[in-house]
Amino acid sequence: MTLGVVIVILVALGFDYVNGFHDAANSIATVVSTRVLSPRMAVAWAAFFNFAAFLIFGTHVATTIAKGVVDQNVLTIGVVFAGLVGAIAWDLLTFYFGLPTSSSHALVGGIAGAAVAADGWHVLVTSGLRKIGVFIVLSPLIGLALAMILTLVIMWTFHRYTHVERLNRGFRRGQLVSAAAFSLGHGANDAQKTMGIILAVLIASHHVAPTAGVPLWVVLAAHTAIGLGTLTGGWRIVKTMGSKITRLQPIGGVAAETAAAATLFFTSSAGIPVSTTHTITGAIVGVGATRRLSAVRWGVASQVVWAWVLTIPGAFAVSYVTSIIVRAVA
Amino acid sequence: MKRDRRALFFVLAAIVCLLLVPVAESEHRWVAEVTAVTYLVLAAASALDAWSRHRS
Repeated sequence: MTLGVVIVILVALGFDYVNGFHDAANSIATVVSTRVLSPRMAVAWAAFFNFAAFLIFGTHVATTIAKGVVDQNVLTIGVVFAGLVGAIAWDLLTFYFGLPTSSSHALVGGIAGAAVAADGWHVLVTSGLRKIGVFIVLSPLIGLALAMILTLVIMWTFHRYTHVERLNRGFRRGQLVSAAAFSLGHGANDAQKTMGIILAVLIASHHVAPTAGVPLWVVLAAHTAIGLGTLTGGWRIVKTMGSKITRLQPIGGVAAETAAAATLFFTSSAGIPVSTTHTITGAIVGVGATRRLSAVRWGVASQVVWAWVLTIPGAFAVSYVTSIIVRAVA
Repeated sequence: MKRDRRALFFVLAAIVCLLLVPVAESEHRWVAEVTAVTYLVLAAASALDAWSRHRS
């Protein structure tokens, strides 16, 4: 394996680590904001299930990222490196400003920008980008609807229950399960994006055949990196996700995480790379909307939407410039 | 009848989903369709809820 390949794989794993770090909030925001677990315990819990996801889910999302965003022939080591640098730079920038953006779309925008800079617009795979684009919008809407329906079902089921304290205690425990399920979904969908990038590099450098699946060591390395990232996760975004969008009770936390986890399980199985951030944000809004629309702080929610809109063009632009620099240096 | 903002919100969400149907890949079109129908049902339920509250 050449030094270039090793460096790009390490940068990809670095991106995965930053992804876990950045998205840790998604897995644990509700558990922390409802005080079910201490922040330290919550990150350990989420990191474990991030890692365990490799035992359950396949690698369909990895294949979509490796073969469904840009033409495989244009994916050289330099292009992948530039794409990753753009995505990481964008992630860190939004992390600094405390915005829950999408690492996944930063990656897609980054790879697309670097590839277009290398060989023009024709390298984009429109069918793959269309699939990703449709689910940028659909995943938060699915999360929202499912969370709202789940909340209503729970409320309807327990509306005559008088032991409110006991009920809350039960749902606090239930949140451990729903947070674990969401962390599994997060690990499955997000770790696979890095696997896809590493697979693309291995194919480009002829270390594996173009028709080959993801090697086991890549799967394990990607899950380890995202798990470690979550373990050291940041707290700026926890605040935005857990309390600024809407105030959550344990029942709402269970509904939001279960709805988001169900969405992620479906999309991961179908090979659709979606944003875990979009999904859980939609689900939290869905829980808030069961009370009334004014229970959702739309100012913060719209800030989040703006970050979504800017993610792909932002990462695209940074990677485009990085790709030109990499080629000039090389 | 008092206008329910939630019903309007759900109708808008359903319209967005319906607009995505022709754009989506054929294998995933059903997801957009099912989500649109779900939002229409939620919109109808919200409107009925607002109407019954207004009457009482």
